[in-house]
Amino acid sequence: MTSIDPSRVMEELQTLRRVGLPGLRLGGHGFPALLAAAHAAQGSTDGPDGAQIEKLLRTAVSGLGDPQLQRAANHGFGLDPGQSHARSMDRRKAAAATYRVSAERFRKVQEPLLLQELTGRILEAVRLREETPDVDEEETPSDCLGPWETRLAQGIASSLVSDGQAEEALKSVLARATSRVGSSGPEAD
Amino acid sequence: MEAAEFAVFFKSEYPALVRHVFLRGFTRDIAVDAAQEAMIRLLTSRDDVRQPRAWIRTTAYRVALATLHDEQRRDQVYRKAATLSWPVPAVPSDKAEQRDEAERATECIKQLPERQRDVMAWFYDGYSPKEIAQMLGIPRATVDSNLRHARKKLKSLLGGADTGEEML
Repeated sequence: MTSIDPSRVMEELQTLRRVGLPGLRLGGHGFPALLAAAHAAQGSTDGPDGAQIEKLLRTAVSGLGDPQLQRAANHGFGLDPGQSHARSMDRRKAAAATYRVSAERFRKVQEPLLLQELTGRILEAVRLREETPDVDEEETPSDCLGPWETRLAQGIASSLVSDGQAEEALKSVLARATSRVGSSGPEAD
Repeated sequence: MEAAEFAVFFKSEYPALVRHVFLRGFTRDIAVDAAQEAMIRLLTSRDDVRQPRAWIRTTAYRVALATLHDEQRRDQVYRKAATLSWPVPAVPSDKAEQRDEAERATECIKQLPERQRDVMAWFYDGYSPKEIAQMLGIPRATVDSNLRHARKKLKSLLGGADTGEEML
């Protein structure tokens, strides 16, 4: 199982609720746990990081069983059309309105519950993905190069630098290093 | 590091170091210059470099970035996947087959997203996913995921399964 810290996911969700989706559209920096979860849950690293996190969030919200909690999440994170740039407080007020409570009460009672539920959905998505991988992904990548890859890597290197070029480069590097450090530098053989 | 010891290290690491920088999206010329500069800095460093293999890669990458920024300021080169152009052939004609495979591999690698290329560059240098996560400062799960997808794509693009060898 991919190691994803639930408390980090929850902290990052809290930050994301505050900064809203525009915070993701800058590239998703600052949300490493959510990004790792997105990669693991979606089984793909293609596409911008922010878009992957947003997709993960939307999937987690749509998976919430309680419709009221789902509406609150849509309002709170600004997932509804035209709401993504709303201010943090306005989004929280809209979310609180679904429970007919004040924004402050929502922050203390319903919001932690919402973040906890979303964290659970995200971890569940990761677990499900890992338990039901694509047929092609059943071959877990080994931690080292296979023989075909080793040959390929060597081929790329030797095509970039021939033995003669490496020899010339060594002479050049030794000479330049020597001149750089002056008489106290290492001697070239 | 003594000159004799350095020469042995240089011969074993230099081509892989050029490959590393090249695969991370730079031109061959920049990769060669950055690799040599990193080697000079290693040789002249007064600090005790405890992990020289990783050190030269990180240093060469930073040198390449700085070089690129200088060149970008002169509007000459941009760091895009398209800059992974194949260099002037550096191998004898009798190794044409090997070169063709390497060229095809590079063409495929340049189609990968930048992060997958970065991960593959370290992976080709023999680093484990855990070490790559440390080097790139990204989560281990992200490395695993990028590695899995990059290898899968390369396998499908290059027909690795047809070689009869186990790739994944």
